[in-house]
Amino acid sequence: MTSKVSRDTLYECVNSVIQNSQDKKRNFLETVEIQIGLKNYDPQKDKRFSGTVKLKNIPRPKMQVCVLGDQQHCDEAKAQNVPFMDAEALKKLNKNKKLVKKLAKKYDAFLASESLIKQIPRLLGPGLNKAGKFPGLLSHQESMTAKIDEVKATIKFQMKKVLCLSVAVGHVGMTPDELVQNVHLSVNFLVSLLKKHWQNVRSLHIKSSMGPPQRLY
Amino acid sequence: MSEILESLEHLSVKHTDDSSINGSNRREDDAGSVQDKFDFALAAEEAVSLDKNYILGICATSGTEFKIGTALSDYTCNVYAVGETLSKIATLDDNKASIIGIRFSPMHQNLLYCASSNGSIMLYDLRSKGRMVTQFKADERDDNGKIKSLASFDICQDERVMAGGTDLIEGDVFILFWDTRYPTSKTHGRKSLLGGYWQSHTDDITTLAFHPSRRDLLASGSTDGLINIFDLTQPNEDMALTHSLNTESSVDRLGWLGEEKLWCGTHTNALQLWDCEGAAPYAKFDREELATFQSEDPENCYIVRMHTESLTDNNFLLAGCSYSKRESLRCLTVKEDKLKACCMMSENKQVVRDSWFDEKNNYLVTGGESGIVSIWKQEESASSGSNSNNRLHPKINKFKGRDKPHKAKPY
Repeated sequence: MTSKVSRDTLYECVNSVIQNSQDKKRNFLETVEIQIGLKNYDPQKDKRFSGTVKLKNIPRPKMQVCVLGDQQHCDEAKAQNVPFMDAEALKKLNKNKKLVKKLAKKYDAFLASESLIKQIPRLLGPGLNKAGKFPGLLSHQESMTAKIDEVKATIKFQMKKVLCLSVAVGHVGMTPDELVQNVHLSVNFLVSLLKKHWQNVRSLHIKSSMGPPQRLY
Repeated sequence: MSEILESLEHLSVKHTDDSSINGSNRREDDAGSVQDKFDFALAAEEAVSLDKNYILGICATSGTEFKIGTALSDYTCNVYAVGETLSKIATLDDNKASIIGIRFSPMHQNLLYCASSNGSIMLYDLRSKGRMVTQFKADERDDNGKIKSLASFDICQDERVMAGGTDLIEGDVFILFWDTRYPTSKTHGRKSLLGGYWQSHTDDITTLAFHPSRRDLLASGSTDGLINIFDLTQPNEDMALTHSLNTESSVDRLGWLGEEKLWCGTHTNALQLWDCEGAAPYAKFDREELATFQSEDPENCYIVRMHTESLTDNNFLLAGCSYSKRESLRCLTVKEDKLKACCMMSENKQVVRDSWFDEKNNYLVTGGESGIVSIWKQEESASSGSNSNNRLHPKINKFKGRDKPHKAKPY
């Protein structure tokens, strides 16, 4: 399926988003998000519009990932200066709700070794579930840094009862090429999930946290 | 020397014997897999409504009387009796909100449960022309007037407990349990709402499934990407939560495959197969992979549901593909972690939204976006394309009453 957004418009919009943020500097790194308005879509009848997509370039570099590791992963994490905890440390939390909550708050996401991930409900109770931060699997076959980057590059989107949705796909510190790649990838993925594809799209905007929206479609 | 030769001969003889045995075994295996192959032939079809209503949920009885219940997008439920043709026996229109689940009572064929998103589960008796018998409400206390809107529900096999999963309400999401013996409407001393869990999910609970044989085991799936498995015998939620499986996606539907395994369909049209004890799915098929089995464009492919035959341990996935001109529907068999194209249901006319498999009688019932109920009869495909018509269930012939109102797609 051909994309309805030309390469030129995409670059034009991305550049003006970056330009706007440079003209008026803010005290934080602005996030860039895309906003999609839908049409011919009935939330009562049609399937839910929800899921995750992995982007090429990391949209949230500051994300803190903690490794809940077995011995080997803990050693690796130590060497690479990644925050980590082992099974003993988790046992010390003793299912204490406050402590688990505190742990969940400290980090943005968790990864766990195979042996540990199965024990999480028994060791910690539902605390991480409640925080929405149940760990992903870190296997011994893949590299730790690659997996952490994958977690950072994966974005979640979900449409609730209103016919629009916005997803953060990057930040203004990225190069135009990186941003364009991310926008392109996420737009195509989202549109592929719609039943009638582009015929369900009413509008498509890209904007930074504080800047004006730029219309893509 | 001669001894050695003899022994060698022996060996070789033995060897050939072994190989022939192996060979025959292999052939038997092949034969077995051929028998696993089956076809679904369209046995009956009926359009449930003339408006542009979708069928969002479908269920059937598995006993002696064959009845089908359909949940439509205009909040009504139609119930059909299947004989020579499909005949409507009841229209249930007490609902004021969209229906999120419909199930016949596992014990009584004349009772139908119907859960709606406004937080109530109605029980209808089909013997009294679909009169609502009782109602179970998500919130019995009216302290703040908020309704817990339901998103999923399931009944356990012996019909003692019913569970409902809610949407996210002010940061909380609940799995609620009801005792089916004590309905809300009657003023018994006891309340039917037994309690709930609210700490294990962070987003809308889209699907719930009781274990087919162990009635105290419940699996739940949510858009937050987690599948949780609860042991309901435990005194509190902390202890009840036995497994959490992270799909890293958004769970649309799930179900049990045998004793220890689960299937899960995501909102991104991927299929994941999990072992309860697993740290990762033991098999995972994304939309692109599923599309290659159907030799179609992934952007038009969708999955409906997985069905199991508990006796033979055969599992199959119902998946479809939607084009502007034609709607294809297929079964893919799932063996361990492998998927295989199995049969094509070429008479399909719609985007299928839900299906029900009756393993006793080998019927598959589908319903979808053109509002058509289709009944498919399973038959083994032994190169018998021509005489397949003869094998149809004698009671059911293709419905010929009226023209189908939805020949054209509504858009």
